[in-house]
Amino acid sequence: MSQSHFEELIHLARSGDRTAENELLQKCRAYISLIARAQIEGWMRTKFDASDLVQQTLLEAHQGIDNFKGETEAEWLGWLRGILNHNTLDFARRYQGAAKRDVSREFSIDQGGCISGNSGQRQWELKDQTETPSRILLNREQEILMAEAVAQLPADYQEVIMLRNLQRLSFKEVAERMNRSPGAAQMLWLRALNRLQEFLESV
Amino acid sequence: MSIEENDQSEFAIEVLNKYLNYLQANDQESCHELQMVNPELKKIMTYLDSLERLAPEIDHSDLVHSLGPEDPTQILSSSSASRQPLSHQKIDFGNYELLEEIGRGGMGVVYRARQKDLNRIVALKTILSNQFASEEEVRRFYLKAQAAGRLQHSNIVSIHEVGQYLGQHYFTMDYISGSSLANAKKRTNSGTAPVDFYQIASLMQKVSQAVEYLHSRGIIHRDLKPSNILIDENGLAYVTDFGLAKIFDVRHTNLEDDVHTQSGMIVGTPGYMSPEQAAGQLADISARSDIFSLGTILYELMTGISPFKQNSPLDSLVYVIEGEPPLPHTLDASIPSQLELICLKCLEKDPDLRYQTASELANDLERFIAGEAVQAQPAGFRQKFQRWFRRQPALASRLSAIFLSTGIIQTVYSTQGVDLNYHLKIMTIFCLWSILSLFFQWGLDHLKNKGKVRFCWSAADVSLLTGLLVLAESPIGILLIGYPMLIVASGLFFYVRLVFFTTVLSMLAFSILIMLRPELVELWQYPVIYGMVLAILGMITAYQIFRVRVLSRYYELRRP
Repeated sequence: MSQSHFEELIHLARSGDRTAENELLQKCRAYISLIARAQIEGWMRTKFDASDLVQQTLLEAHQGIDNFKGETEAEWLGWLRGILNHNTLDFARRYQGAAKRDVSREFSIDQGGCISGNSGQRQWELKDQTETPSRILLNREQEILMAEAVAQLPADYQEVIMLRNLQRLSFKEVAERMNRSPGAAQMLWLRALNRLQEFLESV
Repeated sequence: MSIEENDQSEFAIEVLNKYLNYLQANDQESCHELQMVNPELKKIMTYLDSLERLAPEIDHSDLVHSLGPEDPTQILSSSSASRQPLSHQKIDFGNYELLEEIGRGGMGVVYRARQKDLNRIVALKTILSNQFASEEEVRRFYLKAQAAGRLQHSNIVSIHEVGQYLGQHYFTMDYISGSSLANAKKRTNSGTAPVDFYQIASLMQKVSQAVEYLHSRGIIHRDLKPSNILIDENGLAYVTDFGLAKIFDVRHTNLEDDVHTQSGMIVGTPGYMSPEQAAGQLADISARSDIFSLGTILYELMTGISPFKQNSPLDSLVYVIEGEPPLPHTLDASIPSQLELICLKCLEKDPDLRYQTASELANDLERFIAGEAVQAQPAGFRQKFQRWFRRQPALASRLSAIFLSTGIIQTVYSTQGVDLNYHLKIMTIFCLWSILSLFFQWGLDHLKNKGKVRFCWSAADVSLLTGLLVLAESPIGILLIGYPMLIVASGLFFYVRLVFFTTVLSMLAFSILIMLRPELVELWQYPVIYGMVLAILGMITAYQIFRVRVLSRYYELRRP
């Protein structure tokens, strides 16, 4: 997927080509899904099926494509990320508000109450997060490929990458989350990275 | 790169985790440093970079917003902007500037580099830092550089300097702009142009002269192979990589060197090493071992096939020691017979039958180029038989056994005059057996699914033997030795399943035989004992093979 091809897709999608728009959104599905999971799971501190969120985001992108004024792939991904952020924010508010299904309380049983205290006041920090200039400057193609590669990994490899890289947890925390020894979690991580390399080099 | 060995994995995890910590703490300098010191992990580090860019900026978001997106310094100081992979940049390395990676060897990465003070381009070879966990590796590295540093020859890559930068050991050598013979070979083979055998001979002559020079300086290369022979733009050959060169200079045969050889490690590349190297007979390794390796290279250049290369290193080793590759002209009829003679003389199992020095080989190649008769002689009958036996042991052993048996039976028939009808039946089965053996051998050589051919061959052997035993005149008791023989012989292929298959089949065949030959069950306990012995024999044979396979796997993992 060359950048020019990507930008051509954006151009076509903006001028009303439905197939191009579809292809464009499909190409970004793994990317959106990975970021959505990283945000939600990082916040909830447990695994979560973010497919509704991804679906919602892609749908809103489709409905609002006329509002998108950019041209580059960086602008496009930034725009998608913006929509996703609003959706995750909405989702987080709804979850916090729902007393019956309080995730943090459910969770306090499992985790010995370590987070139940502050989760009430926990702010959804992604509020208003816009694209920083540094992100816009970068060639974003690599990120889309990487997200696709991660989506191809077996579930436990995905999880360890999700926890260690995308949620920036230490291996001690990763090990606790995955119910493994830290050594095993590290080994899993290395294997996951090797697998990513194999996959990315075969593309 | 797949990291399998435990120590290596631990090291890789440690470095990568450190890298990710720096990355998440936004410490670019430390990241850059780690990338430089661990070139073998750089690729994965760039993946960590892009994963980090995917991660939501939860932790930094406050900081980012307080600065505000309009702040121009953001672009420069921000974490991600400078995290672009540095692959296309020059990397500073002490007195050198690493320009690009040009290859990876067993021990390290090779870069094209510029030496700053002399402003010249050199090849800089580093040793993988994780390899340095072992003292032996350090010693081998310096031994290699030392051995090569004293050499000066127009067909040898000279060593300039050995050193260390930021804990990274390296040495520099001539930069040859071209490729190794391994790559050059692929390129010529892909084209349809006919192979120029005189050019091959001339190339091998140069290489032989370089090897002769090495030998004259007391160095045995021990790892000659296409990838260790570089070809420059003008087609000149250079021998490189004295990684395993054992120096038999008196000055260096101190105790430490003995430790190296006593460890009994098989060093070299299976498929290109001589039988004495493959068998681990370290005392027998001499300059003539390099002649063998030169022969394998010549063979590969002529035919495009590496003569002894098999799927697993163990199979390659066994094949080098016992096997014989197909004659070159059977693979390509255009191969000149004189050049084939030279090649086969290099590939003699017995070092005494090879060329005794590399210059003898070079001279014979010279004669071939000049159109004179070469010194290498065609094989005599005994040698031919030996080679055939090594090349097709399964067929050779069967045909020999059949030949001997029919010989004896025919003698008995001629002298004692048994029933002609009976004699014809027996002889027909033997004939059928020979024809089937030839057919299966053809299958082994030409069909893709060799495993199935072996199973069929075993099945055919058991059935034909049973057929013979059914027909043979009583008492046949002694002839039952045939089944154990087939079981043990099936073990020669080194497949546990094939042995079990043959054993079970033999037992079945034996029970059928019992039904057809009531005389065998006069004492019922004897056949039972016989059957059990067959089973035990099969298990012992299978167990031996299993043990060899375990060793093979161990060796595969230990391979550098």
